Amino acid sequence: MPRVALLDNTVQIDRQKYKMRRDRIDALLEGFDFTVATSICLLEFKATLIQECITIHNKLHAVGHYTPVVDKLTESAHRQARLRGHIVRNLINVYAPSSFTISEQHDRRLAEKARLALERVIPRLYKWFTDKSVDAILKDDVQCTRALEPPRKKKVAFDVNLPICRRRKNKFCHIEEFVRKHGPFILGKLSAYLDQLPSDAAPQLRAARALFRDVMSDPNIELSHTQCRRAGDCLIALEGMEHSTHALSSNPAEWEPICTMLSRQFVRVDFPAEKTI
Amino acid sequence: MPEQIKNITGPFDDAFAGMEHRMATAPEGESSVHSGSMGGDYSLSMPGLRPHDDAARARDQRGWGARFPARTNNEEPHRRQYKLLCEDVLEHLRDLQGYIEDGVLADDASSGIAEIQQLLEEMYDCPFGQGESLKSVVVALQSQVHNVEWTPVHVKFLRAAFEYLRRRWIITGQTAAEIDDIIEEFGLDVFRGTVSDADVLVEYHLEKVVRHD
Repeated sequence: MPRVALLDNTVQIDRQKYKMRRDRIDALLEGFDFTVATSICLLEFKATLIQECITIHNKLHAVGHYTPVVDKLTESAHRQARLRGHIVRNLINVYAPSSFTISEQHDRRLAEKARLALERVIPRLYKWFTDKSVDAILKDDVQCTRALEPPRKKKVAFDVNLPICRRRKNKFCHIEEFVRKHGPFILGKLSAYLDQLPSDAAPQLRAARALFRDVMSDPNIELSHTQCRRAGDCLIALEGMEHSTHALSSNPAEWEPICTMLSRQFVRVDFPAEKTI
Repeated sequence: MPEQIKNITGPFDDAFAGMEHRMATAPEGESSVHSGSMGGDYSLSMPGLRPHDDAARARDQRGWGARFPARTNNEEPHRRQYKLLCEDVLEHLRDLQGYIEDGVLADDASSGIAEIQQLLEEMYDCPFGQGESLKSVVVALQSQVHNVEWTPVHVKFLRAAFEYLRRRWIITGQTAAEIDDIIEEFGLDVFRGTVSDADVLVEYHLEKVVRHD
């Protein structure tokens, strides 16, 4: 039987962010015959890594200076502030002049170069995910409209294509149908697992259970991508369940119990080499 | 003198003078081919139009080839600057080949590397190509060669990229994507300097200075 690895969004992002992690993950993937991802995983990738690149790009275009943009984006309490910090540090490392002082002229030039660099890689990141990162993207069950739309450049700014999903206007996916199909099976397993834990444990799995219950009890409910992302790990696992034998993630808190519920083997992706530094 | 020659106004260069001579001395049948396709209002006084562009303009008049950008002389100094920069970089890259020994680039190559990096900065400021497309190309090239330990792969990559760029008549938004394809062909990381932290030699950081004057 072929060994098929389902990749979580955290793994896909780690493959891009750090060379050391990429090498480690590539070594792990050599043990598998096929690798797959899902449309909800692509949605997560778009809403995190690509979204942050677009945020930085659009700010740089609007402000035209590098330092104020970096200050504003990285000093905020935004949940992706660390990811933003990672991107702006990389831009400095490669495009900043090797000097300890940066004049206004240098700052403007750096902003322009950073903007052009991001402009070049944003469409390529999406293309990397869909064409190169895995052997197949399992998208037929859900067909997430938001995931299938690539980021596009308007006149000067990028649009990540993540509007609020509205059925028959900009949403043609089968997410509610998909949740109702798998809901009875997964809800029982989730409840059995969560009932053993303290009430404040596993918040993401609890959010997923609440969402599944809402969809099961309300025939008129319409989910938007933000709601889908709240139950992201469960949806990714369910979407890829039929076609995978293993699931790879660097987030064992959610993925380990999910894999146990779905009788799939969990492969924890950790990076011991980094911890020894 | 045939009628169409009388309508010609404007400055002639040597090449056009030759063309005038050929048209004037052409047999009657051949001359009618020119007048038939261009019509009586044919004039070569359009600024920037060179004699060998008349065929291109004829295609436009028939509705053909309209998608091809017109060649204009005001691009010429920039194109010349761009071509010279390409040649200079290639010359330095050829010199760098001499510093590769046993698959390693010698430390002595640093002067050549510095020259190339300076030429890339000059190319960044060269106002050639559509919009910011040449800047995008330079940014793509710099993403691989800035703040990194140069290896023979970097030299080969730049040679391939500049051999390709040197042959380009125009630089468009697509050219940077083609450079990215070359980056991948050489096994380098397209996302270096943006989302990827690959092989950075020295890490810099921005430090906010608070003054208490």
